[in-house]
Amino acid sequence: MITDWEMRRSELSHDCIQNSFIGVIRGVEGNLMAERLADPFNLEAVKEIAKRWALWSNFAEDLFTSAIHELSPQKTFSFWPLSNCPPDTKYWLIPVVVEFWKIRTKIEHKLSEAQQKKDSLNAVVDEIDRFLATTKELNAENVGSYSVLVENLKQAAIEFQMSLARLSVRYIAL
Amino acid sequence: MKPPKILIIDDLLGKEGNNLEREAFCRVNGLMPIREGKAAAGIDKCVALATFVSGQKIVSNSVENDLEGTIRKIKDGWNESERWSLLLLDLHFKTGEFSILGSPEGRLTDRSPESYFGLQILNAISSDASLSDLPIVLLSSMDRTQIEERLASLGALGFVEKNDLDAKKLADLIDLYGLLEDEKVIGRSLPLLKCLREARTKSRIGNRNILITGESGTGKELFGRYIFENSLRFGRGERFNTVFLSGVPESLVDDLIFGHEKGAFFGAFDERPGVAETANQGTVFFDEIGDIPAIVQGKLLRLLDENIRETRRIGGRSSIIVDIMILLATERLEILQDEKLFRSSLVSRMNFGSRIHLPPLRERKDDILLLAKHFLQKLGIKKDFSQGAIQWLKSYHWPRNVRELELLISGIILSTPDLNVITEIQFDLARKDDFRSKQEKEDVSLRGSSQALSQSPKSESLDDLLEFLQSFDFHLVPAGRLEGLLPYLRLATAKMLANYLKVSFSLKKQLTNTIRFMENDPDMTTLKAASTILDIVEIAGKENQEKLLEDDIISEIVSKALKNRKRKTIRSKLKPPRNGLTNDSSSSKG
Amino acid sequence: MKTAIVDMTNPQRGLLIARRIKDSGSETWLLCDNKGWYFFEHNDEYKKHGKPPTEWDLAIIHKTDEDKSRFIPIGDIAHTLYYCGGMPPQDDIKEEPFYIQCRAVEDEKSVPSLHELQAVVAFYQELKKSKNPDKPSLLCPPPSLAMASSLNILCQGYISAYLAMGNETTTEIPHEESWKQWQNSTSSLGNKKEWYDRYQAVISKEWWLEPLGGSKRIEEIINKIKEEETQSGLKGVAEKFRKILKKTDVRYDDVIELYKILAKRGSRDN
Repeated sequence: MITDWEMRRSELSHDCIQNSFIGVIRGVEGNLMAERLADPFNLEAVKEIAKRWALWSNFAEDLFTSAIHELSPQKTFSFWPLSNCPPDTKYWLIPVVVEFWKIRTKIEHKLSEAQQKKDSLNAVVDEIDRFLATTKELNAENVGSYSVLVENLKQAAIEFQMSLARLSVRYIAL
Repeated sequence: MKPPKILIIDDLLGKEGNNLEREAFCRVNGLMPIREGKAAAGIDKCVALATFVSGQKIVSNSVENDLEGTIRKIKDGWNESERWSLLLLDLHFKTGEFSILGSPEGRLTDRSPESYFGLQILNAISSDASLSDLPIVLLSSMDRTQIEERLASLGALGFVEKNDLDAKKLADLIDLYGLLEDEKVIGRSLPLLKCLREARTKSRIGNRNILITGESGTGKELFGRYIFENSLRFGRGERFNTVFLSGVPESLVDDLIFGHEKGAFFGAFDERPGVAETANQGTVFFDEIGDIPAIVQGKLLRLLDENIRETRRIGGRSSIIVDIMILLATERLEILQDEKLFRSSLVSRMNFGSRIHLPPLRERKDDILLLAKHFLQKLGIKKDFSQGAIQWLKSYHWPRNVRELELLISGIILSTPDLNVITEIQFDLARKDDFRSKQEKEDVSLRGSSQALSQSPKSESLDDLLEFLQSFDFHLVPAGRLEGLLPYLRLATAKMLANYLKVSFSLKKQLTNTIRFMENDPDMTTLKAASTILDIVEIAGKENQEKLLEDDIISEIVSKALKNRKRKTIRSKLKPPRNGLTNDSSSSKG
Repeated sequence: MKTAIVDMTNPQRGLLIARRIKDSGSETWLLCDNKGWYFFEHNDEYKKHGKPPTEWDLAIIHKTDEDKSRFIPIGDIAHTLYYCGGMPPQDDIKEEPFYIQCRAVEDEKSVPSLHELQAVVAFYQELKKSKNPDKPSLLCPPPSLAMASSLNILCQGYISAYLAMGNETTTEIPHEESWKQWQNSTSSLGNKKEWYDRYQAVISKEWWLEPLGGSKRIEEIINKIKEEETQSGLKGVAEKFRKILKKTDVRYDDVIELYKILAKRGSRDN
């Protein structure tokens, strides 16, 4: 059963980071490797995805915050038959199984890792924003440092995407 | 050559408006996007011109898949004269309301392999006969394991991961699966483009046998060169040897293909490798393999063995292993299938089942006008065709295919050089002229070999030989074979005369008597005899004289003649006199 | 298609359902208070409208409102669908009216999603054409393996209480390392008295049977478990559970045997 949370995670990971973020960076990298410095795409594209990142970053934050609530076995108590459990059973049983699930899936560690990767990506985006704020065009002098920034951006995005992949959980109950 | 046109159907890349992802994709893959029918600027080393389609529409603020609209767009580009070379099709299309991230939030059904929209599009294409030849490659990183077989059965030629794609891989995909035009093999009709694709596929494999069939005048040799030129990209050598088999005497065929060792037969002054050897790592093209003589078929069997190709020179003791690609062309399949004329083992090595069959011109209606214009351009002529002429071109049945078209165009230009517009009347007249001249040569068609072979001497008598030599009709020899023939004829003639000289000298033992005997001239003088001998050597031509003089007896004869008649050019080519041989001053007196 | 939504108990819930039904392509009317019928325009706004239709293709009614039929105009209701804020029936209902069975529709969080309701609308459209479509999952009993996952949770509850009481694990227990780690949180999840009471509860068969259907429906429960075995490939669950129920008190070793089978599935995910 694929949950809504999983669909949102997949949207962020696949559509935003992989197809959009990394895809656009590949285009810029290709240009830089072929020394097409004059193409306005080199700066404009990165500017745009840095802008989009602000939205995606918030989305990721919401995802992390809601992860445990959405994914934990707590949800099974909304469904038959456990919805039939008496309230006093639910009262203690739910926290117990949630705690056990957290330990077994190492979800908090994975969330923490994903948060770190997100923060790293944030940092690189900030650095690139600073570069773009003071750069109107690429030339032989600044292309070296720009290439490094772009490479760092791609690497950070890939690592973030991998940390999101580790959060993929299909079954909520078991 | 203009880059090919491809169609990409992808929900993300095809989204309308400012699309960063599409721009990036184009840059990574060397694509020039076509917007409103025009290619955008800015991409150098363009792999292809790309049209992007999302496959979707907006309905009440929700994104929905649009099968009908998508199929319509596919058909529009497919039915144009410059049709899609390839379709890259995404599998997974997200639908639904827009999420806060700006893309459709997606539905559960979108993710189910059985209900991928890409699969629905593929289904619709495969159900439409008019789209059956559209080459499709799936562009997706989604899970397809459950439906891979189904995708292939619906005509998907290949799969590629979107993020793995780059300009080189895309170019390779297009080369392997796409329908591509060529600068030299002119045409854009589907039958031709499919043949070209097959040729490219086969040329990748390297040292194999490729059988090319097709009616006369369909361009088999040109096609062979296309295969050869494509094979260069995959590491094959640059040597391209052609063997024209029509009208070539049996004895020459063996020598041509396999070569000979020195002294292997009378006249074999030197070793000579055959085309199979000289083309090592390259390509050999056999034109009209149906004419290969029976006595050579056995040796050819070894050469056609794709596992180990062996060639052996005439007179050779050991085999030589070669690495060649062999192209075999024929317009007479029936000969190959006649076991009395052709060994079945030979036919099976020709990969009969996977031959490339060139379509006749009447099946390439889209190409006829294109070719006609091309031939005009080749002649450096600028003329137009009337509507009637265009109609005539399309409706004529072209029994002799592209060659006939070229001949008609040339004929029209020659006969009516001042006309600016060619009409159907000119074609009618040109065809009648051409037909009449063909009628005269009806038994002697450019099918060549059987007619040419009928010219061989009836028996081996000298009189028959002389009559044969004098009456040999070069009309029967294919034009391509006539080119560069003179050196061979010179050498053959010189050899024949040299052999006659040697035999006569062995009878008469003395130069002047020899020539007197040969000319049947009782008044022959020493000086004249010497001149005659030197004339015989000169007939061979400068390039062949050395070979002739390597024969000891001829060398001796010529040396004596030179004593009597000084000719510097020949003297320099003489070998030093053998021990024991003296200048016979007494014989010079006759 | 014309659909009526009736939910006088929770107007917000009714409104959400109505919006999603409208987005699924049906003309939609909502009755959620005494002010009359609301009609949904295309642009997502809804407004009061005086005269609702007299014929309906579908009426989606909260079960407690089914006797409010006086609010629904006389005329044909082709199909009726009920939903419950509490526990819905769990049978394979063959005859109409159908129920949303998959889960209780308590509040906005448990209101069926757009794609679930799209499937429902599509289903009734097909019924209207006299076709015989499959029921969408929303109208079917809960997800497969509901029994297996519930039993797994109950096993976890038992094991937690057992360990919290300081008992030793005499047999190898799946996810042993995780259980050891879990034991560190015992005190934060309850005091000694609480754990004692919990342990007393889990060793009784009634604690196990009550959520699954009650002690009077043991055979039915066992049959449902057996059906799931075929689907899940987890063989032996029914047999192990029956063994648990045979004893006076539920025993640790028997629970571990059951848990070992159920835990195989869970280990595939993480």
